[in-house]
Formats: sequence, C-alpha cells, structure tokens
Amino acid sequence: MRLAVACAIVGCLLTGALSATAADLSREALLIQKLGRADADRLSKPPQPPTKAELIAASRTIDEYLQTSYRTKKIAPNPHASEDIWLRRVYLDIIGRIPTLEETVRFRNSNTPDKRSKLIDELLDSDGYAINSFNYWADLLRIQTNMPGGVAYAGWLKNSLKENKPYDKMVTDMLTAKGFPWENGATGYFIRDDGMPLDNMALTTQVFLGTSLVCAQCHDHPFDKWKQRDFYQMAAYTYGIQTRMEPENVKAAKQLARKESESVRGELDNLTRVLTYGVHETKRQLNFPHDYKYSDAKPNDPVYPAVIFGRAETDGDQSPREAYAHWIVDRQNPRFTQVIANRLWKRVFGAGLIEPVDQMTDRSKPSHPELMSFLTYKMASFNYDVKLYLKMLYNTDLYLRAVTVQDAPEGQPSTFAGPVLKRMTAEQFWDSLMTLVIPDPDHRTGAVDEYAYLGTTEALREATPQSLVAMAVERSEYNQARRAINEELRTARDKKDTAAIERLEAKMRDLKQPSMGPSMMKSDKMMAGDDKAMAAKAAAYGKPATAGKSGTPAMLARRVDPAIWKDYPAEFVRASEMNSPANFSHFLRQFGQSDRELINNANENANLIQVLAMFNGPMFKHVMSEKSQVMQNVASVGTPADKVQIIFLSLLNREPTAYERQTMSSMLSSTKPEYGKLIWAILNTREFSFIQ
Amino acid sequence: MMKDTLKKLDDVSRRDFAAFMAKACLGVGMIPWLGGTRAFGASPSSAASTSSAKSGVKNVIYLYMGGGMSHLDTFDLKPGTSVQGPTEALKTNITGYRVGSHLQKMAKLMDRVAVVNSMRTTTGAHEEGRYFMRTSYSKRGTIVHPALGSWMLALTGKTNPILPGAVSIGGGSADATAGFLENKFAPLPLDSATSGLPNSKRDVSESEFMERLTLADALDKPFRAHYQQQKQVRAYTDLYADAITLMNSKDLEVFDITKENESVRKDYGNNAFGQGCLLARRLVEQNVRSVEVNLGGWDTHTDNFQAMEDRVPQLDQAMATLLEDLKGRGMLQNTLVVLATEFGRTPLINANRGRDHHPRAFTCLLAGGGIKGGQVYGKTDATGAEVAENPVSIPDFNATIGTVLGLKLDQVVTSPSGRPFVFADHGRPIKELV
Repeated sequence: MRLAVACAIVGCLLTGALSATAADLSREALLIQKLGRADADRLSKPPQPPTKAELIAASRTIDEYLQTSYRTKKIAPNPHASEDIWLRRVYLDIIGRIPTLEETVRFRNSNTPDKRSKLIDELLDSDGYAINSFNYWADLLRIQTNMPGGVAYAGWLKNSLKENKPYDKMVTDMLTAKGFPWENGATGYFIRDDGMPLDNMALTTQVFLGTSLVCAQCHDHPFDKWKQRDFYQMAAYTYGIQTRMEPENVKAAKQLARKESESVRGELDNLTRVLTYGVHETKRQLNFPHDYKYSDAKPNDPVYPAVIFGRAETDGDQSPREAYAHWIVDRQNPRFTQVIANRLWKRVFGAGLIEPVDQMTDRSKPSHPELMSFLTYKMASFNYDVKLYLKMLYNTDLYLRAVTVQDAPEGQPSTFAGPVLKRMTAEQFWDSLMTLVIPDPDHRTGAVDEYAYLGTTEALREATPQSLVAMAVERSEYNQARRAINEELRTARDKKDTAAIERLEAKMRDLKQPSMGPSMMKSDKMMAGDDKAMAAKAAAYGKPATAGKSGTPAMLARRVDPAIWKDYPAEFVRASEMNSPANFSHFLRQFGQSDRELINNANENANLIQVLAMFNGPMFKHVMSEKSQVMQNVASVGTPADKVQIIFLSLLNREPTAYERQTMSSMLSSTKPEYGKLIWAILNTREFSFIQ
Repeated sequence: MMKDTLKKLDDVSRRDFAAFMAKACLGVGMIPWLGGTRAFGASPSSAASTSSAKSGVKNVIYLYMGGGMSHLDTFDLKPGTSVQGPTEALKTNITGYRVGSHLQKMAKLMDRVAVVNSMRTTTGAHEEGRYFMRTSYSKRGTIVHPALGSWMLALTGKTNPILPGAVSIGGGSADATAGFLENKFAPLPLDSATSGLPNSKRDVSESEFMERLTLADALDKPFRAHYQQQKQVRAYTDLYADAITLMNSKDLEVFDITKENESVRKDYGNNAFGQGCLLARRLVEQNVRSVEVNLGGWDTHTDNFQAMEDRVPQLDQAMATLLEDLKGRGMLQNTLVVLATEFGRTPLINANRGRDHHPRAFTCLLAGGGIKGGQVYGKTDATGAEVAENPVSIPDFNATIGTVLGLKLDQVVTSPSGRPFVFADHGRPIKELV
C-alpha cells in the first residue's frame, strides 16, 4: 500500500495545511471500506471477478439507493421507456450507433426472458464497444493522430479498450511509458504535451484525480486550496521526462551529413523528425519560478517532489515518476477511483453524481453520497474492470426508465428520476448514418493515414544512415529543381508564353519524385508550429505496414473480406477509424466533434451548418443510393406498407405509429410512392438525432 | 394528406400555406417563404439596436490571435535589448513608435489604431486565457459565459433579419456557443472563408423541398411536443426556420467571396486568415453585427522568430487591407476592429529559440469606429516583462469595446440558473481610447 491513507486518518502530520481535505478524503476512504465490508488488505488485492448473479445484485443495490432517495426527496421516478426506445438507446450508448435492421428485428422477435441483459453482454463484448469507447477517451485524453506518435497512441488506446485492460493498468501504462511510440503507444500521453511538462501535470490531475490545478500553475488557486507550491511539487515528479530522442540511425545520419549543405541537413531533419519523439527520463531539475511571490518557497529554489494529498512512497528501485504513478492509481487513493466511477456514471446516465466531474474541490459533495461511495467501492472491487462496471450500470432499473422530459435546472444536482435526453454525439450521428449505408460498419478499417504513417516510420526506422542521407540529398535536389521550374513558370505566365508554360509544366511532371513523396519536403509555407501537420502529411505516402508487425494497425481487424465494402466510398468508415480529430469541415466537426485540443471539448450544440447539412448535404444521397443498406432492404420487400415498415425500423428502430400511418396515407396509396421523401423527412426529425 | 392539400394550392396560396405550416408546426412564427421580408429571429429588443452606440458604430470585426501573440515581436518592441532577439524595429506613422519589421503595411496605418501595450491577465493557460479574453469571466465548470457576438445580439439585437447576427471564422466548433444565453445568439461557425456556407443550396425544386419539409414536420410533431421543455430541442426548431429563410434569400451570396474582384482577394492575402478578413468585411457590409476571424499558430515555444516570419506578414497584410478597404467603402467609422490574444510571450528566449507564455504583459489593438487612433496606451518596463504604466485588465479592455458598441455595461442578464451577469464583468472602459 503505497498511498498512506493512514497518514490522513491520524491527522496528516506531514502537511498540516492540507488537513481539511485530508480529513474529507479519509472519511471517504473509511466509508468505502465500510461499505465494502472489507479491510484495507483485502481491498489491496485484486478480488475475484463477480458472477453474473452478483453483478445483477449490485445493480439492484443501486436501484435500492435510488428508491430510497426518491422516497426521501419525494420524487416520482420516470416511467419505464418502451422496449423500442431502450433498444435504440442501448446500441447508441454501448456501441455508438443505431442498430441495423437485422439487429432491430432480431431483438423484437426474441422471446428470451432476459433478452435485455443478454444484449448488454453481447454489445459490451463486441468490437463496437471498443471503437465507441475510443471516441470518448480520445476526447478526454485529447488524442490527435496527426501529432508525433499520435497514431501509435490511438492504436494503443484502441487495443487497451478492446482487451478491456483494467483502468488502473491503462493509466499506469501511460504515466510510466518509455521509449519510442512504435515500441509503446502509451508514450503518446507525454508526447501529446511535448515541451509543456507543467501543462501535462495540470491535465493529469484534472483527468485522473478530478481536481483542477491549472490555476495553481501560476498562482494560488482562488477557489480551491491548492497553492502554487503544491503544483510545483507535483510537477517535480515528471519534470525530468523528455519527449525528444533520436534513434541510432538518425544520430548516425546527422553525423554523416554534417558537411552537407544547409538544405540537405534541413531535409534530413524534416525527413526524420517523425522518428525523434519518444519518452525518456532525465535528471532535469525543476525550480520555482523567478517571480515566485509566496513565502512558502523562494524564487528559483529547487523543487522537491511531493504529492498533493497522502504520501507517495518509493521502493528503492523506483524512479520518482513510478512512485508518483503508483500513488495516482493506488486503490487507496480515494479520488482516483471516485473520479472514474463518477465519469462512467455520467457517461451512462447523462449527469454525474458529482458535477463538474473534473473540478472537485473540498466543497464538492455527491448528490447521492452513499451511492457514490458504493460505486467507488465497486469500481475498486471489480479490479477496475470498466466493462463489468458498465454492465452493472446498464442493468439498473434507472437505465430502463424514460428520459426526463424537462431540462434539469442549471446548477442543480440531478435527481436521477431517469436518464438525460441527449443529442447524439457527432460520432454517434455519423456512425448511425454509416449503419444505414455500409454493411458491417464496425469492421471496416479505413484509416489510410494510419497504415501509411506506420509504413513511413517503419521504412525510415529500418533505413541505414547512408540511405537516410541519400534520401535527404534527393529531396533537396528535387526541391531545388522544382523551385527553379516554378520560377521560370512564373515568368512564363507573366509573359503569357503558352509554349513555355506547356514545356515547363511537362518538365515538372517528368521530374522524378523523391522516394517518399513530395509532401514530406520542406515547403516554403511550412512553419514552426506545423511539425504536427507535417507528420500527418508524411503519412499520406508510404507503404502499408504489415498488420500486426508493429502491434498497432490490426487492432480491430477481423477476418472480413474487404470486398463487401468495395462499392462504398473509402472514407465511409466509423468515426474512430479516421484521423482524430476529423478535418474541420467534415460532418463530424460540423456536428461538434472535439478538436481534441482541450479535455472533453466535444459539444452537442445546434447550429445552422448542421441543419443545412441535413437539408442539402451529400449524406442524403448516400443513404438513398441503391447500394445503401436501407435501400437494399427496402427493395427486398414488395408492398408499400412493408417498405415503409422497413424504413421506420431502419431509421428509428420502431414501427410507424397510427398517426404516422395516417400522415403518410396518401403517399402510400400513390402509384409511385416517394420513399426518398420519407427517408429525408425522418433524417430531419429530431427524433432521429436525439437519444431518448 | 398533406400532399393532397399541397397539390390543390396554387403558387400564391402555397406561400401562405408554408407560412401557416411554419407557424403551426415549426413553432417559430412566420417564415418569409420565397423571399418574404418579415423579420424574425431577431431578439425582441432589436428595436433598440439603433442604439446608444458611440458615434454610430454598429458592427465589430474581432481578430483573434490564437496561442498567445508575442507582444515583443509585434507591437511592443524593445530594440537594442537582449530580449529582442533577431526581430527588427520599423518606424511607423506615429512619431517615436516602432513595430516589428514584418508589419510593413500596418506601420503606415498606425494613425488609425490605438495600441494597448499594458494588457495584463492572470492566467497563462491557453484554454483559460482564451476563455477569459473572449468572455471577461474566468472559466468555471458550472457555467459557460457568452462571448462578444452573443452578448451583442442579446443586448442590442440583429440588424439584418435574414443573415446570422454573429459569425465565427476558423475558430473551431467549440466557439459556436452562446453560453448561458439562448442558442439563437450563438455565432455561426465557418471553417474557412473559401468554403463559404456549406450546403446552403437545395438541389430539388421548391415544391419538392417544401413537401419534404412538411412531411418531416408532421412526423416530428409528437416528439417536439413531448420534449418542448428541452432547450436543446427548441434550439433546432429555431434553426430550421433560420435555415429555410436563409436558403431563400439573396443575402446568401454574401458568403461567396469569389464574387469579389480577384485583385481584392489577392490584397487580403492568399491564406485562410486573409480571406477570412475579406469575408468579414462582406458580412459587416450586410450588417452582420459581429464577425470573428481566427489566426492560430502563435504558441511559439519553439523557433519563435521563424514563426514570426510566417505569422506576422499574414496578420499585417490582412489587417492593413481590411482597414483600408473599410475606409474606402466608408465603413470604417461604423465598424470597430479589434485584435486580441490570450497573453503575451516571455522576454526570455528559451533554449529552443522560443518564447513561453507570458500573461503579465501583452498587447491588444483597437481600430476603426469610435476609437481615437494614433496612440499607444500603457507601457511595459524595459524588457516587456511587467506593465509599467496604465495597466489594462481584460474586463477593462472588453468594457471599452462594449462602450464603443453601445452595450450597456450595467445591464444585468440572468442566466437560467438565476445568476446575474453583465457584459465585461464590471470592467471600466478606458476613456482615453474612445
């Protein structure tokens, strides 16, 4: 047990200033223990996974907590949602898309008594779960695939989710990662904040401990108790981490090229930059800032690492960083477990028991304290098995209820009379449209960049120093030749000399391109801040990596014949299989996908662009193409009534109501019913885009 | 049923029918279908928009430099000191005032600009800094505050009834929020000026489109009725009406910058920011009240000076052309132009030839309508590290903007949670600038 909760319980002699919180936290810890009817020793050992019956019993315990709370607060919980609504919701929540026609019909026709619980199991075990969860985590961790090592980072995350790596293990992997991204994708956690170790620390506490140290980076926190000193002491644990390193072949190549021209050396830098990010530890010393203005330390004094509550103990052979990582994920660290338990609760039901989920202060109190403690205990006793924990939540009575009809009053804690009505996230929206168009949407891996990036880096890694220099020379020459032709072209165009223009354009076409493509060239427009973009551009050229060789690209590859997708646009893949984030003008961004710059930066706000995209955008045509899943299904049945039935089951996952049948009656009796109009209309209803 | 009704209608009554549909089903009041003129969607207070604005300033173009623009390499030079690095100083048309040498064009226009060299903020984190600058409030987990454009629309309304009242170009979808204000006050987010307003043209006939819409509306009615108390659901209702109106309006052309003379487009600079400034001019010309244009890439921890060679000329060309163009069209006196950023950069040049975040002193600009140009307000010390004279807080700066635009600084707007807020959070306008 590395986190000395005992220290907090006996009065936290170490840091008197923190005693108020420490007392709070220790109360929490005690409650967790009491609820678990377990002593600390048992908690520290990974418990056995629960049986299905035990898991359902835990769901019932949650129901009981809520029933008590409804009674005490005199609240009538929402009625249960219809099976249709539940079905659509559970697909969107767990695997991130609406069910296919086949899935919808299968469920409706099933007479299995516990078919809902069975479906929850099935969905959590499907590949759709991992790719849907990826979107959630990528937003939280701000994963950008075009940053150095970003593709490997994303791949590592997908793999971790697919194998259901315990959450504490996942976090440890990130916080202790070492090496190059291609060796260990989790290094992306530090590389993401390359050159900004202090920001990285502030974000770490926000994401994993639910407390915001951002303010304390520059001054004592105005609303929380964190001092600037606390921040610096935490940051001292990771300040020695460096995110730049060079593989041997690059070092040797740079040595070889030191007598080459500046242009060649520049090209060599550009060519190999993608290889020069990785995580290693140094002894770099953090000092208090030169303008430090508090009396608890002197400006420029060295900072010695210390955690913000409890104590991090080091084993002899642990680096400070490892001690710190273990302190964060220790099951006795009351914040770590509570934060993830609360986050996932919010993910399922739409509001946290503690809000905001990542700015907890001493004054933050859960809306349902005992329930929060129970959930926290369960998360630990499930050994941080996220799927198990979610399974417990999805099997509650609360999840069966209809969503609340009114907005929750702003700033008021939720009563959890039912889940919250949500607009689909951008990813859910896109992925649902994909479900209507392409077959087997969960298995189409399409991220061309991903393979190409890995191919490029692999080729560069395996290159000898001599060939790296040769490539740089080739690029430099190509670049110069191109520039010269461009110069002549400009003159020719000014003179409107058509013959010369044609000759020069032909010359340009004939110019032999360097072996790894022109976009890796140093372009005139390239600027300091664009290294990331450059890595992404590099990715567009290169050979596909052998699946599995680097452990990354094949993560979700199932034995599926890719021919089933040959009739559909290559970019029609699920959101998780594209660059993260998608291009700004992509449908996903229009509908609020996070730019993955800030933590949880996605939004579901309505805007004009979205409405126009659904009115006039290209997506409707794709849904209407004869190859689309929905149109193939419509074509497979005969009568207008059946076709309409198929359309409703495919888009809204329910049958049309009597009112709707009446509304469509003239259309149905027409000699040439316009199904396209109906599909357009349904896609433009709010019912399509909201999750009830 | 609906279709049968439609079939019986001739063109004129079809318009009435559409208006009826809109009123009855979309719940948004009359839609000026097919080029009607009745204004809708403007705030109830829009009558007040012929406002108390100082000297008739109506609209604002807000240029935001994302990442933290180096004050030391642009508008607050320290020539001859060790903090200056390779950036050279260039004389301007304000006597004794010099700017970075990449500001060739702006140097000749400084008489129209009020430079505020004594900006000071408390946060050195991008997210918080950007938020503070754009809203005047610290970022909290419990509420989202509106930015300038949304405040303007809420307090003084739209002028052009058809076009969105506020537009944000290249700022990311996260900026497209009205905060705690109603969603209809949120700026329209545009990726870039060149892509214009995507999907704004229908590819089916009017009657076909209207039939589709009628059906959608009928199908959606039960859902809308059931969730009528949900703000997010209602927000889409408002937008459907806006979208339909806009699609049928000639004003749509404003988004098409290819309608501009090629030489004008070239003058603004062949880059996203330059073209964004051009679109901004087109939009305010049609009385869109607030247009924000973003230029990122200022977070120059590495190779600051190389980055300056790229960023500053883009800023210089676009902003100078914008000021000239506005002036040439007689629009400068009723358009405020703002240049803002989240913080400055450190005087100390780091080991990567970069500059780090520096909230303790930085520069913002005001130009155009209502602004006393040709002055440098406030001063930093010899190294640009600290404000030495006339410190200006972010709320003060925003209060100055508010004063110019005629926003009442004491008008309380209550959030849905019952908390009172005012524009610029009680900042005090800088009298010398307006």
